[in-house]
This record gives sequence, C-alpha cells and structure tokens, in this order.
Amino acid sequence: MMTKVKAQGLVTDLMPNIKLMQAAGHFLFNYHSDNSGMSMLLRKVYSSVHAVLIVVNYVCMAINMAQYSDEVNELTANTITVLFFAHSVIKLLFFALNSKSFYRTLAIWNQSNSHPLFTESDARYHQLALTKMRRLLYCICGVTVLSVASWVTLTFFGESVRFIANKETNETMTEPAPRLPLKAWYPFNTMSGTMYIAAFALQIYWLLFSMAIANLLDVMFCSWLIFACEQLQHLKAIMKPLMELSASLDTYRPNTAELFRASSTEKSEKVPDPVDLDIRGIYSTQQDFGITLRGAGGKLQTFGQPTPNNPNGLTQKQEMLARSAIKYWVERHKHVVRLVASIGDTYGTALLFHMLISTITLTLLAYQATKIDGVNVYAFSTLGYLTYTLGQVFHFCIFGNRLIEESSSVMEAAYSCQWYDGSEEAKTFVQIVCQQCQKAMSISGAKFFTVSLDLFASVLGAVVTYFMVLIQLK
Amino acid sequence: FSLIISLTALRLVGFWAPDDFKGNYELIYKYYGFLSFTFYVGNFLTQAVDLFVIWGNIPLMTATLFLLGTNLAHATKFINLYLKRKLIKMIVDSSDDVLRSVENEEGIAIVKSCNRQTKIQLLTYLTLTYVTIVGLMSSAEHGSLPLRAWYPYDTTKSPAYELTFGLQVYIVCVTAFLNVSKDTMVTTMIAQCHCRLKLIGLSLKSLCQDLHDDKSMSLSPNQEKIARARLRDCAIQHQTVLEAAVLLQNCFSAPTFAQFNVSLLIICVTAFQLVSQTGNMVRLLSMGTYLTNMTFQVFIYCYQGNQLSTESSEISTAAYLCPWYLMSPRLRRDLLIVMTRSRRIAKITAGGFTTLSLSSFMAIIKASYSLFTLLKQVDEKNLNHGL
Repeated sequence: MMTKVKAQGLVTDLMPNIKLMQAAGHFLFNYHSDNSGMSMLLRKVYSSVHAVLIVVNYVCMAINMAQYSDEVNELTANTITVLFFAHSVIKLLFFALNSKSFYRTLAIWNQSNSHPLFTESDARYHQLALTKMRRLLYCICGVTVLSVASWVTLTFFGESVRFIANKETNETMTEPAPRLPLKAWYPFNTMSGTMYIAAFALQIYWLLFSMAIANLLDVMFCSWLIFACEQLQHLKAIMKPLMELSASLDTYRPNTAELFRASSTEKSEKVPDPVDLDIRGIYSTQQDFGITLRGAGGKLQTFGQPTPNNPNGLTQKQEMLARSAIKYWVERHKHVVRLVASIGDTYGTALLFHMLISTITLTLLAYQATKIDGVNVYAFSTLGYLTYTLGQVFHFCIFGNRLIEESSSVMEAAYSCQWYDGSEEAKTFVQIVCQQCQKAMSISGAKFFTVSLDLFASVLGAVVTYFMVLIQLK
Repeated sequence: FSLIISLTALRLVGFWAPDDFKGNYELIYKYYGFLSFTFYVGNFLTQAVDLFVIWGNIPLMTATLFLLGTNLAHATKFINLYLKRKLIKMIVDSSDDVLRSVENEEGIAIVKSCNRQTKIQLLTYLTLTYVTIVGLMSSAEHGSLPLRAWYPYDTTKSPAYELTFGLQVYIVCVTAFLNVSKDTMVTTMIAQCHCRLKLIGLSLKSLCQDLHDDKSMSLSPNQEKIARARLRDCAIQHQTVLEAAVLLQNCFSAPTFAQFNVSLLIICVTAFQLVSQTGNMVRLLSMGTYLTNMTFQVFIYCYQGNQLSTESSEISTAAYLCPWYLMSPRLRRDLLIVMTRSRRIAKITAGGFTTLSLSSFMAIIKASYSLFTLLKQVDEKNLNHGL
C-alpha cells in the first residue's frame, strides 16, 4: 500500500529541480510518490554511494595538492581546483545536515489564502513565476553540461605535465603527468591503459555530478526568490482594485470590468475561507455592482442615511468585502515575509561559506591571471575558472537584489493607488503598509552581509584591484 | 544568569560592594578594593618600564605589548566601572525584575534561550582564556619568566625567581578572570535588553489573541478596549527598554572604544608574533589561542550589539504580524506610532565612532590585518637595513 504524498505549493513548482537533485545524489528523501521501505533504502544507498565517491575523489585531489606543494605555480593551480570543488562538498554536506529546514521552507507555501476577487491575478503571477523558474533551471543545466564538456575538451590540448621544483638548482622542471581532467592521486598507475580510461571516466562522472550538486542547490535558492518576487508583484498589482473597493466618495469610478471578470471566475473556485460565505452572498445579489453599471444613481455610497456601523457610507456587504480584501492582502504579505525569513534561515550559512571560499579563490585567480602570456590552455582555464566563479556569485546576487527591490517597491505601489479616495480604514491600511515596507526584505549570509548587487560589485572590484596591484608589482 | 558569576568575581576583588555591607564594613571593603587596584597597576607599571627599555626591537616589543595592552584596557574598564556602579546596579536590578516576572510559556522559552546563549558565550570565553594562560605559562623557558617585565630586583636567583613566577601566574590568572567577568557583564546586559525587546515583540504579536473569532471582520468595542490596554502596556515597556539601552550606551561607550582600539593593536601584534616566532611549539599554540581569544572578545561585543539593533527593528515586524486589519483606525494609529519609533534602531556605539555590529567587526578584522602587513614590511626593512 503506497502512501501517496500529495505535492502542493512550492513542491509542485520545483518538482523538476527536486527530481534532478535526487538524481544527482543529494540527500533528498521526501517528495517521492512511492514511500515503501525498500525504495527508501535503495535511495539512501544511492545517495551515500554518490557522497562517498565524491568525497573520496576530492580527498585524492587534496592529497595530490599536498604532494606537489613545493612549486609555487603548481601549488596555486591545485589550490584553486581544490577550493573550486569545495563548494560541491560543502553544499552536499550542508543539505544533508539541514534537510529539515529545506523541507520546512518548501512546505511553507502549502496552504495559501485566496479571495474570489484576486484569484485571476494570483494565477497569472504564479504562472509567470513557474515559467521563470523553469527557464532558470534549463539555463543552469545547460551551463553545467557545457562547462563539463569544455573542461574535458581542454584536457586534450596543451602538454600534459606538472611542474616540479628542482631542489638543488631551485628552478622548475616539467614532469609528465597523466592526461586527465583533474590532477589527483590515485593508488593505481594512470599513465596509460585500462586504468587510464577508468580514471578518465570516473573523473568525467565526478565533474558532472559535483558541478550539478552545487548548481542545483543554488537554482533551488534562486527559484524560491523568484517565487517570492512574483508574489510581491501580485500584491502590488491588486493594490489598486483593493483601494477602489474601499472608496467612500462618490467620485469613485470602479473598474467594473475587473470586478465583473473576477465575479465570473468566482463560481469555479472553491474558496476555503469561511468568510467567503458572506462574499458569495454579495456576489449572488449583484445588486450593488449592477447599480453602477447601469449608471443610474451610480453611487456606492448612500448619502443622507449615515449608518452608524459603517462610517464610510458603504453598505454592510460592501464593508465586509472591502475588509475581507484587506485581510487577504495582509495575510498574503505576511505569508511572503514568513517565506523570505525561512529562506534566509535555511540558506544563509551556505551563502556565507560560498562567499568565503569564493573570495579566496578569486584572490588566487587574480594572481594566476597576471601570469597569462598568450592564448594557450593556461589562459583558457584561468579565464574559465574566473568566469564560472564570478557567475556563481552573480547568480544569487542578482536574485537577492531583485527581492530587495520588489519588497521596497511595495511601499511605492501603496502610495500610488488612489488612497485619497479611500475610507479611513483604507488610509490606515496604506499607512501601516508603507511603514512596514520601508525596510526591504533581504537575504543575509548569516547576518554578516546582505546578498545584493552591491556585494557582487565589491567582490568584482576587489578582484580587479588585486589584479592591477599585482601587475604593477611585476 | 551569567551575570551572577561576573558580579561575584567583581565582588571578590573589592569593586562591587554587596548590598548589606554598611558603615565600617563598607570602608574596609573600599580600602581592600583600592589595595587590589594598586597591586595590579604596579604589575602593569613594571611591564611599561620594560617596554621603554627595549624600544626599537620590534619582535621583543610585540612580545610585551600584547599583554600590556590588555592590562591598559583592564584599567580603563575598572575605573569606569567604579565610577558608574550606581547606575549599573539600577539597570541590572530593573532588567532582573522584568525578566523574572514573565509568566506565559512562550515568554519563558525566550528568556531561557537568551540565558543559554549568554552562558555558552561565557563558557567559551572562559575556556579560551584559561587554555591561553596554561599555554603561556608552560611555554616559559627554564630560568626565565614567562612574561618579560622589569623588576627592581634580580629575578634569576632562586627564591626570587620562584616567587616572581608564582606572582606572575597569580596575577595573570586573576586579571584574566576579571577581564572575562567585566566583558561578560557588559555583553549580558546588552543581551538582557535584547531579551526584553523580544518579549515585547511577542506580546505585540499576540495583541489580539483570544479576542476575536474568525467570522467577524472587526473587533467589537469591548474587544477594542482590551486590545488598547494591551497595546498601552507594550508601549510603556518599549519605552523603558529603550531608556535602558540609552543608559547602557552612556555607561559603556568609552571603555568599549578603548577595548576596541586595544584589541585592534593586539590582534595585529599577536599575528605578527605568531608569524615571526616559530621556535617554541607550545608558545606558538598559546599565541594562536590568545589571538582567537582577543577576536572572540571583540566578537561578543559586536554580536550582542547587532542582536540588539536587529531586535529593535523587529518590533515593527511583530506589530505588523498581529491581525491589525481587524482593528478600528484609531487603534491602528496607535500601533503605527509604535512601528514608527522602532524604525530607528537602538544601537550601542563605541565612543561614538563605530556602532557595535557584525559589519564593524569585519572592519576591525580588516584593519588589524592591514596593520599586520604594514608591521611585517617595517620589520623586513629593518632586517634588510641591519644586514
């Protein structure tokens, strides 16, 4: 008897990403359609095998680095490679240790509120988010495959040597080394023959899987940010109709098309909100909105009989509608705030490690780049490392920046709607929203830095400065 | 509370008179405090004289500088503590009252977690300090003292040597313990403010708890009254905490500034020592732990300051999280005033120059690193000139 775990919310949207992560060997054991004991065991074994292979190869590379640490150039090159793949190992371990908080973040959007007026807008932005996430996933997958392919191709160019420092004369000699994509120490001789082919195949597998591991986790983080941004867009978009709902003056001109379109889709939506029973009552009468369409006495407000419970002059039902719309907006915004907070808690430390390692790698790469003397394998590999590392940092900086911009523009959207026509309640609503959204929501790397394009600019600036200084010193 | 440990330590040394000492006892206690102070100052003076003697020889200078610097910072903190003890006592007592009167279980959980955090920090700090001391003491070469200092008598002869050795060990142990307790006292007080702000946030979040049912769209007048009373309570508490933070700022800003400057120097000096002295393994290790110790000292100040700042801006988010759309516009405006005040964060500054935050911590580390590289350059130049 299989217990089918119903995928909903963020999980459904990110299912391709999750499936790829499971294939790459991350310790991601939820969200399978089949949860029987045997397949769980198989999956655990699969992930552990991957993990062991990856860590063992990584350690071999480290051993190689320690072995040939006499000569400066060789040491720098090996250090860069080791640091480059440290990302993958760290991310693998990080996910394994933190999977609970990842599951929690994925489950945050399982239950979301809804309102008959705004379901169409909700669906539209949700679809936008989905397209963007898919596109990002394909793009990054393509980039990963491309980099592995170009790495392997580059192995076949140039001399396959390593540099050794001759201890007596203190100059560097070259010694033939196996023509493999990565320099690593293997307990068997890999110069030629079957062992060489086996090592080559192992390294190709290793390259693909370790890059995939690191990149897929970053893609998941960025997809979360895309989702949050689109939700904020949705909230900004519905601010205007919301204000129009709660207007109190007779200069009010409702966006009747929108209201009618929303009401027609209402019948097909099953809203779980208990308050909506009243809303359906409002809709079924159509009386209030019908008045404005016919144009006769087109006022939502009834003058002359100030009802004590409704200081805005709206009828009871209209008041209820306006309040429920505001409740929807506020609850949705709080939901997004919770999501962003959870994302920050889950991924912040991983970002901190990533930035630390990237800073060291980029410093070393700047040093290596000063030694480029022509269009050769060395130049291509250094430039490749450089672009890849900078690209990784740029990847999450740009989405973090978008989140910051979106969340602070909510305040502007709140101001730019017709709040001056709104009721007292609407005005205080705008006031509180403006107050709260002045401070942008941002993702911070364990509180040490915020992820934004400023961070990327400072990293890039530091690399360029090092490079210039080193060039001068030569 | 970790505060108790630090206060007890101070009490032992004679700087924090217990409440029940009256009249004669108080006078005797004051004399005792004064004596211990001069004792430590004396030790500090011997090191200063020694520094004067060896001026110009950078490696030797750095060897004495690091401990001298710490003693300087100690002395400033002591003086400050003594002058402001009444104020500090008031803050501690009021914080204690508030924190002990928490009743609901979420509040108690918050207080417990803050308590645990400060305990962990205190323990880490203590272990680091004592590991360093043990390392330093045991790395002394036979026949010479672990710390270079100038004494008016010859220290290589037998009884004088043992005595001075014992004296140095004793002094270092006690000063280290006092230093730890002073630092933890300051940081724990900041942590207490942070804890109180969290409690206010909790009560703001649950402003409308048990008051409304899901069906209604707004609060009835009775419910409004209750909510208004609760909000008033929160606002009063918010005001007291912010006042306490301002008092803390006034008390501890100057010594923190001294501490930061000294730590900057010490970190770069110790790093220099670490790099240039590769002979004695134990001494190397103890230098390493000393470096970690100093960095940790700066870190806890910055971390607690950062926590306080973030928590004070979280009040606004906590106010937002309550179902304010149920409230009438009048009550919403009250809530708005609270939110507007919490826009300006409560920060502790060091002498008005830098605020205690994690970004200033990174800046301090970077500054000491550049000083360190500069020192290395100067040393190499000296070496080259000497050759």
